[in-house]
Amino acid sequence: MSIRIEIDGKTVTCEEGRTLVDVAAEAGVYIPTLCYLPEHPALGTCRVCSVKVNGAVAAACAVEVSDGMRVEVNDPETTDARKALVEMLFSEGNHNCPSCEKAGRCTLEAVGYEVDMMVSRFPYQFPERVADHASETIWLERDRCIFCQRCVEFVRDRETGKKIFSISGRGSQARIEIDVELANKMPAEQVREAVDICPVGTILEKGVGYDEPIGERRYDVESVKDRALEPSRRQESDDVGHQ
Amino acid sequence: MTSGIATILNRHEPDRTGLMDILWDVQREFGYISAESAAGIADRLGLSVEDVLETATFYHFFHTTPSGRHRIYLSNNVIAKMHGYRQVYEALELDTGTRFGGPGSADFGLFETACIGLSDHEPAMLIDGVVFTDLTPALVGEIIEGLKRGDSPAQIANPAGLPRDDVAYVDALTRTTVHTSGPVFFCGDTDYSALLHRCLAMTPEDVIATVSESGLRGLGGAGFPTGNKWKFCRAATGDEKYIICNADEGEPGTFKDRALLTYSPKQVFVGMAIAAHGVGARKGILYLRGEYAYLRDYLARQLVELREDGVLGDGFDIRIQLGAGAYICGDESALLESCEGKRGTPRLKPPFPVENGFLGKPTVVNNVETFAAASRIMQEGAGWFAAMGVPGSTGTRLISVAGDCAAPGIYEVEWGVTLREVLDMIGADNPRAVQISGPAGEMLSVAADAHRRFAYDDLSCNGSFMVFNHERDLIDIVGDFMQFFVDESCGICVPCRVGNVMLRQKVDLVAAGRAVRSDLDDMVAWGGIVARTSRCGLGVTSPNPILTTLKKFPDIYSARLRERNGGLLPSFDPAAELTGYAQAVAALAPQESL
Repeated sequence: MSIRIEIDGKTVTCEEGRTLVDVAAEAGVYIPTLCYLPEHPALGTCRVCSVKVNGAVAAACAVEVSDGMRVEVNDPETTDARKALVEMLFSEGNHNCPSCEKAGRCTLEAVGYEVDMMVSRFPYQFPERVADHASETIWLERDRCIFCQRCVEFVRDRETGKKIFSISGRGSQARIEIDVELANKMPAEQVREAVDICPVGTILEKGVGYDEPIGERRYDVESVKDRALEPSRRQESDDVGHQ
Repeated sequence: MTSGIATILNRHEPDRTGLMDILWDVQREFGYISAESAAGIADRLGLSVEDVLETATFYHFFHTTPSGRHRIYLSNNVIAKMHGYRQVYEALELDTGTRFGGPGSADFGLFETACIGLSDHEPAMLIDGVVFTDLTPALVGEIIEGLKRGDSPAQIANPAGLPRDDVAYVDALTRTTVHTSGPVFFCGDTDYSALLHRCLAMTPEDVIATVSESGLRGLGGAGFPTGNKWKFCRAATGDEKYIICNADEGEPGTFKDRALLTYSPKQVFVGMAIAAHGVGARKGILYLRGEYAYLRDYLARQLVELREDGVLGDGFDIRIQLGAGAYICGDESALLESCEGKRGTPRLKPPFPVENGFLGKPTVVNNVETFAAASRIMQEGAGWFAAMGVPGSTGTRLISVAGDCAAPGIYEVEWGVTLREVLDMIGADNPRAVQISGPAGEMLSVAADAHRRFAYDDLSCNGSFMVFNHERDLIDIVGDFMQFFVDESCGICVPCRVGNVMLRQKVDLVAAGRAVRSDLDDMVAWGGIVARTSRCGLGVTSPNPILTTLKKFPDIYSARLRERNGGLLPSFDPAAELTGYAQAVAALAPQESL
């Protein structure tokens, strides 16, 4: 059913029940996202897509639009909250963008630019996180993990559906884990899919490095915002995980 | 796979919903969940090993490294810290010869844990699931000596050898004083069989209408109208529906659900059976927090008796699901995940449990006290209940009273009662502040708030009521509460996982006298961000200890601010920085000599 909602004062006509992030993008309003993957169930973990819906803050990836909904994306308070959430992620882990293999195609880095982050307002925590090299094809660079859960939910053993990636511990002690036995069974193309589904440089393919020159990478040539607002580009960059 | 694991696995269905029970059996049998055990479980349930460990490592009471023959969990809540916690902590380390947070020994593992629901008898601890209260160093000495002699914790706690399924056993362990009797709770025995049969003779719609007319709202804290919840679940599509009783009473300071389960378990279970009739459910689950494991045999016995009396078993039955130490599982959707053998991570809403609950089926999740109240309402009538309390907040509720007062314990109060009246009733001693509804609630100033009323639109108490007198250091208490949220955040969303660590560090800065005014501004701003953007109620309420004390007791903060620090940043602590330098030199020295 066709409905009308309001985004930052502009009336938008769309189909009922669609995801707010997508509806906004099609209407030309960019809402930053990190954990959200179009065409996949919402994860709602990063909260970076927080917007006001009928006056209350909600994660736009987990909101289905309904008639008469009033959405505020760019009000100062919520805009600052989104920026703060990105800053929290930079403070929580160890992110050295210039030396990272994922630089230029890292969504966290790209969204950092988009929310105008200069430096984190939060104290850097410098946690000690040990990398995991046990799998034959994948190494886990835990310093950069943002616990978005994309790999946990969307990368499964193709034969059995078992989880390959998982989270151990909880809260600030949480840690990304890899089931080595199952990881070693992953076909090469699924390994690349896992690398691509990771919005940061945590899941990396062994034996491959700097295959694309920095400066010519995904977000070097087109900002994450421009990609999000252009439906065909959006599919190209983010439509991964289909099996 | 060893035969021990095989024996355990053979006792359970090869189904993920049994994972919590399997992990408990392995933890009890071997003292920890080894890689080999995890592999055996994974194989049996068709999961990856890391998937099994994902669940196991989420819960405080499951260990993946050896944790000693006796695992000792000392409650570290603020009430314990007001009653000799530190001395008990030191006595435990001395007598067991092991350290908290350390690797432990073959005999003992020492762990701190959040409130275990015994704020009327702190300091308190759990040893292998058995509870010990009112601890002193001398008592700790006797207990540890007994364990070293080879006595079991149950033998030490229960020298009279009372049967574990008897209320006398539970009572000997916990001795909770219930100061009131009725009108709704603790009013003596009832013919529950007759009550249920009267309800079964009514149409489900009439049962729900009665509960709706009573005005009963969820007494776990959220206050959602109970009749509506049942009505939505009844209306939801599907012929398999569930009734779940939330006995994951984790809010620090509260213990009223434990008292209800001890002295009025049948009132609770019959409330579940009534709800089942209302919504059309055939299965019920009591989700009992792991800290209350010592109630399990007793509650199982009550269920057997109810089956013998024909109250349960014919059309509706209840099983007990034991949790394993996770405050977040008090969130109804996290509780459902836990029942399914997963990490206690709150789900995205909608859909709500009434439509998509346990295993995706329509499910009613209500608190222990809510089901007990529903039983009583069906007995005495909606009008009788609605005549008590105030508009919008009808009837009564239980409060768990602890802290600086003459008579801690359980009280039933009518909604509409003022803070002053409650303080007088419990014999509060020179009270300065009251933490109402636990850390997730509000720090009240007795001077400013004494006239306020218990009501959903004013003081919507969830049962926790902690009194602090003028001697207490409120900043310390705020720091403790923030640490609680840091420890208990599930970590799924950024603001709660990260923001609470940052907020906790700010409180430390204030406590150390190294904060400036802009740090307080940061706390308000950051607290607001965490509250607005978090995924579930835990995150939304987690900055409350800071935000409510900044409002009510600004002096406790401003008195500790510093204006300047010589030529240095106010937060800069030269002594601490130099300690770090010494540590770094010590750590690097061996490497340099290589």
